[in-house]
Amino acid sequence: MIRYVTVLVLSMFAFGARAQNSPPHHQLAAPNMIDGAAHPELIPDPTAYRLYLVAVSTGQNPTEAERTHQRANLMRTGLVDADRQMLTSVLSDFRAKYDALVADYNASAKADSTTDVHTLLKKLDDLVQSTRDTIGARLSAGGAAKLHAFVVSEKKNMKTTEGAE
Amino acid sequence: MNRAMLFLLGSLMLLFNCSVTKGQGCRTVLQPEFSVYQSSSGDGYNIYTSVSIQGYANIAPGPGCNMSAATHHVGAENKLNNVDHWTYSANGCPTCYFSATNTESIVGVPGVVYSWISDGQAICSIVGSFWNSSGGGGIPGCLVPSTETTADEGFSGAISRELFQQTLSDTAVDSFDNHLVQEYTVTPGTNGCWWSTSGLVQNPGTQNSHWTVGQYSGVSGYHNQWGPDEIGWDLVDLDNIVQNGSAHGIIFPCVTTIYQGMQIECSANVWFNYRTDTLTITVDDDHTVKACRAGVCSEWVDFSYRIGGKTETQWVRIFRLDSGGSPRSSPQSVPSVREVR
Repeated sequence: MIRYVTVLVLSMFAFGARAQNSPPHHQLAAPNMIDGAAHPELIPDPTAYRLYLVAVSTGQNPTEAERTHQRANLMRTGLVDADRQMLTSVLSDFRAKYDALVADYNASAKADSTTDVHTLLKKLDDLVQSTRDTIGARLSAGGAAKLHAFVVSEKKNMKTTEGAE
Repeated sequence: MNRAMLFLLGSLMLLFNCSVTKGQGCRTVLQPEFSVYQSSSGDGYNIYTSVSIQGYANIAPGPGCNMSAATHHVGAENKLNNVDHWTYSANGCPTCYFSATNTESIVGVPGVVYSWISDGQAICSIVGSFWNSSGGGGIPGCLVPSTETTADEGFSGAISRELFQQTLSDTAVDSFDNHLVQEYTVTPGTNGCWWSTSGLVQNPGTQNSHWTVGQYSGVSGYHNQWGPDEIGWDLVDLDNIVQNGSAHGIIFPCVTTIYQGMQIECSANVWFNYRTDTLTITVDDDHTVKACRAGVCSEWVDFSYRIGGKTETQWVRIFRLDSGGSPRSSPQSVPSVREVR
């Protein structure tokens, strides 16, 4: 009898120990997805700009295919040639800064899991705003307005859980 | 007795084991903060699609969780015309910020609708995909009208042109508004009103004019319509034909024919030919003219007394003074009311 009990108790601890070493059990906090097609007003302009700028920008040494794709994408904005070329330059600067900010944050987050992501988010927002300012300064007034209208209209193609409660 | 004891202890063990799993196992709460942006564009021949995902996960690890074992990454799926493509970010720490963009392109064929599925996923090395957002739809190779109807809108004496208004349509009831349409010469035309010293064009063609669909005479509000396509000879040429044609062997009524092709701009100045038409201008020696486009013809119009009962000669003189232009030698199909060159 004692032998049985001993085996059972040991088994119990053995299972318990395995449970403690099991992979993390992730509980997914149910996110509220904001669908820009249904509720574009719920996607803030800075978020829309960030999504658009990242999607349409290229790295410092884009391939010909990337350049072609970017040209096709920018054609949709309706910008005139001069404004499009200026925007291409602005996009390149934006992407370089964006990648640098993200790389810096990720290095910190990897070293210290308590690194506050909100610091990065603030920097990204600032970068987006400064890029918008640059667009306003370098593109023609009509071009900047046209681009803004385009980016806002593109919210219909965006979905996000960022900031959704 | 022994069996009862065993059952009791076994049950206790099971309960205890479960509670250990639930209470002391590593339990992590993930709050996904991701965004996905999908876009498609085209330059007429090529279709370009892009799927981009950005974001991070807020993580609240439970006690005892060793998150250093986990890595996260994101993926952007871009399945165009049933060919699947993924672009993944590099693996990173669970609290890292990620972005990935996939771009694809194919050559589009007018009339073909290409399937497109987009997806953005956030993926954990331990639990797999923990967030995704999908989208997509059908992408037309190029928006091309299947039908263009022509309506005669009457004669404009001011420019000596018959005005035609066109309406585009397709089976999907698409809107063609704001697309450009453009004419081109399919093949050189013929001119039965020509003689060697007439100053007229022997083999006339189109003026390669373009129009914006949704507008008529530059005025918006004409859904899927464009025009006017102004067809005719300048008045001075009509006058010349009637006054001098017979002496040079012209047989009346004489007919001038233009072979007009029509193109629509898909995007980026790339044009697709969507139909061809025959334009005719028929002049009779009784000082009447009629124009036809795509089989739709005007009435015979008397061009001698069109404005205020003025005679042909007076009319031409007034016209020349007003326009300041020299006599024309080519029949025209032009996009809007403008001075006759």
